[in-house]
Amino acid sequence: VNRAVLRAIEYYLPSNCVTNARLAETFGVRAMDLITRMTGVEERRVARDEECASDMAVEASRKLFDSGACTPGEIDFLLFCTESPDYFLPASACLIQHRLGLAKTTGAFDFNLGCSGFVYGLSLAKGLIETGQANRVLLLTGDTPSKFMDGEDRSVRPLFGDSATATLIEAESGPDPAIGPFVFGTDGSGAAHLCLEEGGFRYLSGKDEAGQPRSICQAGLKGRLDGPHVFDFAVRTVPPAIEELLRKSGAVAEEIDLFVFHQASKVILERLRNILGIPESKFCRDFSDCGNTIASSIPIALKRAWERGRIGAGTTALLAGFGVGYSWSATLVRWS
Amino acid sequence: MQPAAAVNTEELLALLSEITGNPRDGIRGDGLLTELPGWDSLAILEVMVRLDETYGVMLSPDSFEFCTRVDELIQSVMHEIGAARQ
Repeated sequence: VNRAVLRAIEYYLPSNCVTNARLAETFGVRAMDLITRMTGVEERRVARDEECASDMAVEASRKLFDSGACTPGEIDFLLFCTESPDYFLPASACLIQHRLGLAKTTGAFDFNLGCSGFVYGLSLAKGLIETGQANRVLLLTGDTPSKFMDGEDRSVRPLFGDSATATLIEAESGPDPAIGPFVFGTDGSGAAHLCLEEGGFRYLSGKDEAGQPRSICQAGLKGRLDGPHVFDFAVRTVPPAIEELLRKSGAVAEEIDLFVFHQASKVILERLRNILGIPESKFCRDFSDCGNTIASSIPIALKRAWERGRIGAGTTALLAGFGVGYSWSATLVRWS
Repeated sequence: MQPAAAVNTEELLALLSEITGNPRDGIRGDGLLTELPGWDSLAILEVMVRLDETYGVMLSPDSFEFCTRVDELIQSVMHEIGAARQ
């Protein structure tokens, strides 16, 4: 039986060290004495202005590889727990995959949690490994609270430090679980007590005089989409990924009842359908009234296919998502 | 995969004319692509799709980015199609 084991951990701390003596210049000696007694923190590390959580996570990962725990080529899944991603999109995990030279067959995504995140990451890694979806998971954590916590608040600034970690979880034969069981909990009513409102979409443009969010449309955001490159990526990447999925599953294309791809655009869907030789009757194209709805496009198309009777008992659907990152994924879903 | 069909300059200029909406005689070989009305990323995407459908050649977007003039673009496309026919 494959079980997930925690094999190695490395961490990275920025070189810039801020001592309590230095903070006393801002908050005063008496205040810092109190803060030190309350927090137990004597010094903390602060990332350089241009240093992001992903940069530190890359450093921690390199230490892990240098330790001989494994090679970059052996990683087949990357999980990055962060509250300080480089961008809204793409996921920092995709940037890290490229910087570390991990295989393009590596799964990678960010998840947004704070202090509970590492345990959640272990759970995800265990799930991936013990269900046979991955053999070696690189679980990264990283944050730069020095960049987003209130630097003038003496209850906040002295407490936090910037850092990143890299943990290797890998498959091993063994009778008993090496990680778990788990207990999880969530209570969103406490959200306001540890919160960064600015920068996210609700208060992207700040607040008006009444404290209400200004229109997001006023933010002047300029997300980019380079159509030719994305088209090129999709038509070169999705067909081999689907062939690999069919090989892994032992299925043949003729056994698939419905192909539900990310509803990217007409030209991409049409080109993929032609390359893969998918009959029109088995191909799902359902976005003309709602556009490319990003991660929602597959479930929307599936729901509509279901409602129209294209899905029922015995149906096998092939799902394929692809886009920002670049990132792609494919799986089979069977209805019984 | 079928071998790529042959192509000539006139056909490519006609394609550019159709996609950008410029009259054929308004597209000069020494003209800058950045100054060609209608030449944007959507036009590049459409050229890629049409070349793929018509000539069986999938050009990399980089092929377009390295071209500054219309005749450079034509030469690049003809080169790619020629290579695919080998």
